[in-house]
Amino acid sequence: MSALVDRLKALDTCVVSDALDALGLPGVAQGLSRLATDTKIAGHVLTVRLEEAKGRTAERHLCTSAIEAAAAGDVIVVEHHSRTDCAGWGGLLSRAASKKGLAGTIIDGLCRDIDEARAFDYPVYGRGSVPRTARGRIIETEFNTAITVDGITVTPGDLVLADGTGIAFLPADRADEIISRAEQLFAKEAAMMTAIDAGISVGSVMAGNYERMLED
Amino acid sequence: MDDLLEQARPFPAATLLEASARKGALPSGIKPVWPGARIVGRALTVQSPPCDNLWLHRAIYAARPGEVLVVHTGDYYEAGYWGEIMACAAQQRGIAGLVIDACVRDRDMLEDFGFPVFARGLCIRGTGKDVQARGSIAAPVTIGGVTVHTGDLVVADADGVMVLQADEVAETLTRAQAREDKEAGILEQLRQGASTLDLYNFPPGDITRDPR
Repeated sequence: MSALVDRLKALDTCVVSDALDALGLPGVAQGLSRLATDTKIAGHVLTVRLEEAKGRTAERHLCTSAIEAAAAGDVIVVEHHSRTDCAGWGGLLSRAASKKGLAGTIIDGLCRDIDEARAFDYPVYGRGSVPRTARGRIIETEFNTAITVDGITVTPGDLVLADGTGIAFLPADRADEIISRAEQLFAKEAAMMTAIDAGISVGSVMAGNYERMLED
Repeated sequence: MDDLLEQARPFPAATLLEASARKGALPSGIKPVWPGARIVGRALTVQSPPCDNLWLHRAIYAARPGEVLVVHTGDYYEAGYWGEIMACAAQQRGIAGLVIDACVRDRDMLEDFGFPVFARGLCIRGTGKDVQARGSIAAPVTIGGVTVHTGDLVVADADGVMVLQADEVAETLTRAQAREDKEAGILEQLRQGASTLDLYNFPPGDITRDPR
């Protein structure tokens, strides 16, 4: 795991989101949440794009190339166009990804076999679950190209952090800057927590400086 | 003419690492497969399926002269992904060298050809050629936590492999030159009898050798 990933994993999506706001960058995917395990994940991204089959059959089962290409600790991110009619990730994929030590999967759509993902302790994030198969409905059309998740462009090699609150993507060439900014905010919040623990009223701790804390 | 590439050519990989905020070093396990191998060139990134080298053959014909193939294989090291035939083909295409997060084979021939290869090691076992397996050419790859983009500058020497982000090359080279100049001065002072402790203002501590 890289030093950047270690630093990112020490944070949470809220401060990373605040840092993205402060820098005027997009990156927070809305409407996706944690579906399997209680594990926070951080890692480099591999991408997959799924599309409606329209009578086409794929040479390879969707997402298998990404699992094979990924290194331990990587995160597979799947563009599934927020579809609600079938799953773009399932139990056999979770098993293979878990066996290889991948950090988790994020899908902009639905997945299935969520109980299996939990049993394998494999983190899956997405818009929900549905039992209906991808067979005959969708195929993988691209692997390791720039994809879109909730309107955010995600490129292979970008970083992602996902936790119980949500998901934040960090472009590879800005990751260091975003993480540094988030670390400053994290330190400020830690000091505010300490102040609350010390008995200072939450109203005064979260007074004017909270509203302005992204500015400096 | 890639002026920045020519400017980078004389610098050791380690100096470039120190000059680039200490980021961009690929894992230390990736080393030259023959002594004296050195690469300076722009990256063409390749994601290969594990234990398969068809995408490497394809990359040879996607590459432009002077480019370096930078290959990730999904952490499957136990295969020789590259050898004599591919080195010959790559030289015909003017490819500057190969950096691969896996093993290669035909070490002696690679040296005879003078084709520089940086790899995890050597492995006799070959790979397959699955025509349906999916890989990618020119998409970013992440090796040991370092994300490499096509067009990044690769400098590889006996110490290992450094990758400089394309938009940071000029700035890094300026700092690298300053560092080399400073180190030349320090070497001269050491030869005149100065100590590293004094030159770097390190606390001397207790350097007596007497047994207590």
